[in-house]
Amino acid sequence: MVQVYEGTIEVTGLTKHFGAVAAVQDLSFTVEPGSVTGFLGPNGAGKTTTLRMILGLVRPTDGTATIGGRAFEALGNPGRVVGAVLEAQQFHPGRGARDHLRCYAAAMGVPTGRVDQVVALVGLTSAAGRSTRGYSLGMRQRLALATALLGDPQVLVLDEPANGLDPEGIAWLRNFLRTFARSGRTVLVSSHLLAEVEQTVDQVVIVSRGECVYQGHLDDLRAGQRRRVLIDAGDPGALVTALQDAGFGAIDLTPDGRLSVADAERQQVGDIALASGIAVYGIAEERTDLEQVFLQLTNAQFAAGPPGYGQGYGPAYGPPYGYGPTYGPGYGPPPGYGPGYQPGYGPAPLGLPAGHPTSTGYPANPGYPANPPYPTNPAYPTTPGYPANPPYPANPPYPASPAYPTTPGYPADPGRPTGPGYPPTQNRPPVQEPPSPYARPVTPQDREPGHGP
Amino acid sequence: MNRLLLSEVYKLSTTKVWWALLIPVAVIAFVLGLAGAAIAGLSTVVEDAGLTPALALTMPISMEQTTVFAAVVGLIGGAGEFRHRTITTTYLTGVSRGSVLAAKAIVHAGLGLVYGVVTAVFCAAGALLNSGTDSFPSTTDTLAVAAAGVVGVMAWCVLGVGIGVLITNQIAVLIVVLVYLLFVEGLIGLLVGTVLGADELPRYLPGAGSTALQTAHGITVFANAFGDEAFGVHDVVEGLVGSSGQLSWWGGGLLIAAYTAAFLAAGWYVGGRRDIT
Repeated sequence: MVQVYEGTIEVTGLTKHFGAVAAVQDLSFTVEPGSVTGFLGPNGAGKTTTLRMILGLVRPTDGTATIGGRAFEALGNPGRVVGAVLEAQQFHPGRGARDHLRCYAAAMGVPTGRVDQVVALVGLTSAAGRSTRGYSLGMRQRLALATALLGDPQVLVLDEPANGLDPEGIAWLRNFLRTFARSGRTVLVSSHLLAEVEQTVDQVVIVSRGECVYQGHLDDLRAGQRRRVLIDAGDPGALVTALQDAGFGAIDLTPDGRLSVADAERQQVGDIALASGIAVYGIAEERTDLEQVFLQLTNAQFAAGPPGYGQGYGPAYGPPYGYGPTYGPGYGPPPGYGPGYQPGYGPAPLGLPAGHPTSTGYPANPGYPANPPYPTNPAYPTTPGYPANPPYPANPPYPASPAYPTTPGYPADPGRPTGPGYPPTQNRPPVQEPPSPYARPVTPQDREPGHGP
Repeated sequence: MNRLLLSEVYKLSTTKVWWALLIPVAVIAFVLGLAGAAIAGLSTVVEDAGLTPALALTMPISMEQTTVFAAVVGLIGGAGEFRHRTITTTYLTGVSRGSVLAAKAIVHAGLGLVYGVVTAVFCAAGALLNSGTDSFPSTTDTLAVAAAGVVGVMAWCVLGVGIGVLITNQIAVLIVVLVYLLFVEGLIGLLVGTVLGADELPRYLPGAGSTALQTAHGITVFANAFGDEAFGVHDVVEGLVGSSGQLSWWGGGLLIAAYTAAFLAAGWYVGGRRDIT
């Protein structure tokens, strides 16, 4: 008999069909106490449905979901075991926060004093008497969190909790969730953006099209990042020989005539080329970052290449998915370049755990080919306003992905031109803040509607 | 269960609906009681027998009006949580969906009791104000008429909860039930009863059930005050106040209890399996 800890969430073969639509298919994963687990996947991957099945709100077509070994219905007083912040969770517009919480404190048998505790915890004290009609989205999220915490639960389930929170609120929430998990409790938090939870979560469960594509430590995923050097050499054949002599095995020719050397560093390849007396016209290092791995894992959902992804993520992340440096104006027309990545980079599974179902080589980056006019715009790098984004042209170390969210200039980026062919930026995902070292509960004035998001 | 009951009481008491609808209930009952006693005073001109026990009719009529309001409160109690999407939190904090429904039903039975008692008190107060206790039937009959009326109000308040949880669309359910109670049931009575000749059927409809429970005894008391069945007073008054050929008070009571139980069961079954998305 396997010991089931009180706060373990266990999902086994969970399946849900809405009519002909299979929202979740044979999903299995385990969430252990003591760590924050990210539940990731693009919109429509079945995250919300799965969470609602765990919480007994949606009946599974097949499979089971248990909390501490018991189905939700068998928890007895569920509010004392699991608290949840869900997207569609709302409040009676005529009730104030305190009244709302009192209703549910009564349902859980929690003393009324706990109401003021959680109100203060989420920083709603000054607004607790007002009816929720006038609450901002951020205040609603705080109240939802307060409701979830009311029963002092062992397990916390949050569905896209950062929605509507200001950066300060997000930083506070991150800190809170980590502290909560560190006290030996379970946190399962869903998001469609890895970057949003990257600094919060220890474990990840990644779903795509209702199926689990990865489960494990975020560090393992991070360790799976691979880099390669792209080099444009005068005599590729000689360079290949030289590189092979130096012990580099995985060398490929990209469709634009460059060599791709896996698991190498720029300096190494450059030195070898110099030692062999081969002219080098360009050299660049690439590294897949977590976001790329995530997209690769989940992009099976969008086999046709979703315009939304290319447009939404590309500009916001600077060079689309870190290919920027190799992508410059001098490099000629990229049609044919993108598709070539896949065979060119070989079937190596990006260092992901072996046997990974969707690890089929280098990402068939969905947004990438969608940018044909981009490099043909000779004026692009000098477009007025564009240089306001210094890291972009001079961004060879972009692949050093850990720094990615903090790339200077990235969050502001006001001068980015909507140059010809440049994808529109309106779908830009929420800007990520680094965890604030001063994470503090938000003060009352931050919570006035005018200050909210 | 006690926790959920308390929770439902808080939910009611922290919203306005219950007292906002109680105001017209009290006003209507008071005005009907007052007017009934005034009309009863006129009858002394014709009859030497003194005042007729008008309260035996105005009380049931008041209860019928209150029943509609109680149904509305019950419907909002059942469907309102779906409208405001608070049902998610309610189900997340309740022992089970069945116990949540049971708690709502019990609390709304209590609210129906309040509505019924307020109706009885204000109707009697109106009559008292106009002509003292002269238009009151005997104490026993007064209490019996009031009690039957209150039970009918309670039944519809709980029935509203059942329908609300079953259908969940608050606007739709309010329109459907109000239109049904105010027009459709009468129309069915007319169509099926008169035109098709199946005059047995209308008396088994839910509205007719509660009406029979609430009015049957009062009509009998009022008609008996005239002392002579030959006049056909009973049938005339029954056609005006209740519905012609309606069930006895206990028959109506059993009928409305059966409807209430049926809708609660349907709400329990359907609501218990519904996906809350």
